[in-house]
Amino acid sequence: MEVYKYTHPKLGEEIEAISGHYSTEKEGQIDYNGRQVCYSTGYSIVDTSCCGPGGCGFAFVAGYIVHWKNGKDNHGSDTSDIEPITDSGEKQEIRNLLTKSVHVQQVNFWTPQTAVFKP
Amino acid sequence: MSTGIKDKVAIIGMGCTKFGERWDAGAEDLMVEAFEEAIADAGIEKNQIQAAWLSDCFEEIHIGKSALPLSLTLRLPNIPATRVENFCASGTEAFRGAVYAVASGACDIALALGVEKLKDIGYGGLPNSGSNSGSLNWLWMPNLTAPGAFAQLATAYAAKYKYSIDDLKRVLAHVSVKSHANGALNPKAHLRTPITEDQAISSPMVAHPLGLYDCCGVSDGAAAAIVTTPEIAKKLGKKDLVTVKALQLALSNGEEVQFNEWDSTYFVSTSKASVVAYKEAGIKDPRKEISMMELHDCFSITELITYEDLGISPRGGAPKDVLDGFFDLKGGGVPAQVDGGLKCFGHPIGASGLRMLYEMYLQLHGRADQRQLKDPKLGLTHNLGGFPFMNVVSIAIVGKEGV
Amino acid sequence: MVGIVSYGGYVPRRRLNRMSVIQEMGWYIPALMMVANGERSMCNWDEDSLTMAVASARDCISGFDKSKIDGIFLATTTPPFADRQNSGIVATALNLREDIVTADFASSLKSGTTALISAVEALKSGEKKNVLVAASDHRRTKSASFYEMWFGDGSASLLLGNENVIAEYKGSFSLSLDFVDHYRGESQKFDYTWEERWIRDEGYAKIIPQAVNGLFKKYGITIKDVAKVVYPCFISREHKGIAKKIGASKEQVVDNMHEVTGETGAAHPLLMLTAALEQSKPGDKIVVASFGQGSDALLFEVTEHITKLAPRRGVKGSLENRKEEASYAKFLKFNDLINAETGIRAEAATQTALTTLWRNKKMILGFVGGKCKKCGTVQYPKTNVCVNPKCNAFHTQEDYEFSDKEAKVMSFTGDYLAVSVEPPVLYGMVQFDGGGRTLLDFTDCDLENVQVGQTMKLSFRKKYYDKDRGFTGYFWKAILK
Repeated sequence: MEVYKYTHPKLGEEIEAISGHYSTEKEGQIDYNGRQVCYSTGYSIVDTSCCGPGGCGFAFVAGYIVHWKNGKDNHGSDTSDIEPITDSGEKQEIRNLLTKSVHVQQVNFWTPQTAVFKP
Repeated sequence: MSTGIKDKVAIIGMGCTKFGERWDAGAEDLMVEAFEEAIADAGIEKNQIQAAWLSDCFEEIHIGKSALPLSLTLRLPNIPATRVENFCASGTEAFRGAVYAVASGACDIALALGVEKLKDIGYGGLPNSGSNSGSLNWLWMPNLTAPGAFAQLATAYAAKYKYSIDDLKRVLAHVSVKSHANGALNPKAHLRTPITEDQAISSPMVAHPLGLYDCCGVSDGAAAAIVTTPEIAKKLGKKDLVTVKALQLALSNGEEVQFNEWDSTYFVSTSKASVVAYKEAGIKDPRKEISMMELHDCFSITELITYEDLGISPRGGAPKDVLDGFFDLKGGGVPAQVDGGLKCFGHPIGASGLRMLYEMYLQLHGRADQRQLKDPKLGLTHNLGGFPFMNVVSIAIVGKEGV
Repeated sequence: MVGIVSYGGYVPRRRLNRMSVIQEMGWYIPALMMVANGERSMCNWDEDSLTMAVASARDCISGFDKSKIDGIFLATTTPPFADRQNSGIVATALNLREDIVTADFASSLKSGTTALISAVEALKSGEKKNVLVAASDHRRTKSASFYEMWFGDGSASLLLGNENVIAEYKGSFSLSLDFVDHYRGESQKFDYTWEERWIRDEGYAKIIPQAVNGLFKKYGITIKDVAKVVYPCFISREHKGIAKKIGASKEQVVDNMHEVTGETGAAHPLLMLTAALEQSKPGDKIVVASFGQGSDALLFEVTEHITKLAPRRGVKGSLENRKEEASYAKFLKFNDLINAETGIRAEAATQTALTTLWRNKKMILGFVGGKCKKCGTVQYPKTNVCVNPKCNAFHTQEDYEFSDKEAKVMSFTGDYLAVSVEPPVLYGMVQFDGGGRTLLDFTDCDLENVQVGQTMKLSFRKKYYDKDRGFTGYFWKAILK
């Protein structure tokens, strides 16, 4: 499995989009199959989408921790070495775990932009 | 034998308000703001306008029916004025009315003005019409929203061309990052915040797989165009004319949703309208000849698929062009959403078509400041109203006279 | 020979674990614990007594030539319309002939058995050959009441006729007694009930034995001649007590279904009878009695034909199609028992154009589309101009029924923005086997269980409720096969 540099989100910072905004509030780890999985939780508000209002609590799963906070990016944010989760079965189990434990309505997974994709 | 609209009509003045949550302005204020800029730009007197077209989509929550709100607000001199509505293509429809009137010789100078004041509803988003959406529609049409409907396009597209959803999301993120970068350069844009691909990819879903940055919002705003014949334009002292090259419209006829063939990976109407528009404009190779585009990026996936429907990218090939930066402002290809697009400039429905033409007009006159492209010759605008399976599509091509 | 030709059942997929009521409201009425065993069936938010009646009726008539049905009797104490014949809506949903008789049997828990007797009498007169009886109830109860625990939602249908009879009608005995254990006045949402001990001792314990014994006496039989006895009583201990009073053994008494559905009102005697028929063999005599301002007791004898009845969902299949609902709050919301915020967006107009509905009744209520006489293309909805681009003929479409066709999911989504009682809203495009496609709402399925290519079938559901005018709009949705 490939390992990528993951930049940790700034907690509490509101990220604005035209149809709403979102914010990452907390960072956490869960044990899955004997490995530590790094995730963050937050909320999103979709209040000015052309189609109606909505929003939810979400969890964003970075992946398996390989090296925890072992560097900094250009903006001074912490980075970790993370192995992204790509297997759909693993994703589903982690999704179930998080939906129950942290009361989110949505669980999304990280795809590093440095991953090779050549259409 | 029709000869098309090419070079029969010139745009001599345009105006556009700042888009956004204009709590300070009613529809009347927005109309005046756009009109004042357009008429000053045209350098004519109001009473030289001989006919007017007004477009909006949700008149029930702001101006009400008829074109009277335009005539009353601008105190037009008792000239013919018509209100048009055709979903998100409304603004282009108003423009089409004015252009055709001039081309037919029915009048010398005509005005098209689009306006939408959406922030008077009391809740976010577009109004919910309920049973006022048509007495039969109400009885059976699913309880759907646009993100849900367009999300289905994304999953079908990914499946057909064998892209994983994760990969497609990266492509969509690039589409969105590019528009946000452009919007940040535009003082009139609703949202002027550049974003990173990481922010776009990690944003929560609105309707799987479309995230927060894949969806446009709603805005208040107005835009206007004043048109005449190239001859009159020259008599008025206008130089470097911007003329209309093509104006096309295509509407679904129910085949997508009722017949057994369409596979939900393209827009039938855009595919048909683009062919006719290129013929009208005399364009043989759009990928080489079109200088810039403003597409209806209600969702990132709409923009992606429209690249293909317009023949700019081959079928299934738009993701490659996107990641190659072909549509970026300085990417050396065909820059798209030069002004920020719906997602950043904003989307007051009835004004959007005219807003797109406004950016093309600025670019063709070299007045686009930080966004200015090098020597653009032809600009294409595109609106899509409705849903992937049933929609109204308009395409306008404008350019320098003689191109 | 006159009797039951076929049966059908429907119990909503969701079952509320009664302990979830204790969890939330046990602090308030601790005694609820006494009846908290098992689970009760609960309507989805888009179901009511009418949609359940259509579901059980479709199950009942599957495999039968529905053009031979001469009438529908609908029994319910919870009709969505006080004045607009509810059985007529069922008939339209089933796309039956127009020259049939339809009637609503209402206002009493014994209306189901009374409808049965009336159907039998219509057949015996020779006027009618096949009559469908559907019984259904979705009774609203106050939160944290015993009745909330005792009741369930469900429906059963019986087709009565004189050919291929699976259970012959042998006779009936009726009692009409204005014993008011509960009532619901004209303007009231909920029942008003008298003391439970009185209902039990003077009501159930006396009236049901009186009716059953009356039946025995009238036809000169005894409990020993009977294989099964069906009668309702939501107080489980008393249900056993009544058995003793009529001399029935444990084996003869059909379970009151408290632990699996709860009592389904006017439908309950028919639902229990259906459950009994599913386990019967030729020659079995079955007594079914109801309770509600008196009682009807009916006697049936199972015939050889029961072994030839094609497999169907019935009660057994309905019970197997189950999803536990642990959230009492959802039960409250689905039954409009809490005043949850819906937002200004939900204030949109909800009026129904009755003229439009009348012109399009087959399309909307019957899910009837069109088939082009010229090119054979089938489509939904039926339109003036054929959708096939190579045909586009005008006025060539004949009625084409889609409601029993299966369909494959072409694309779908879970939409969190659409206004809904239970987000996300699931909908998508489906392609029917045999041609035709359309967009439909999906219901009774979870987002993670839907896939492209999956087979769906259709279910008649509530589409909207116009609360200003009290009008329920119905349409069809897709459910998992």
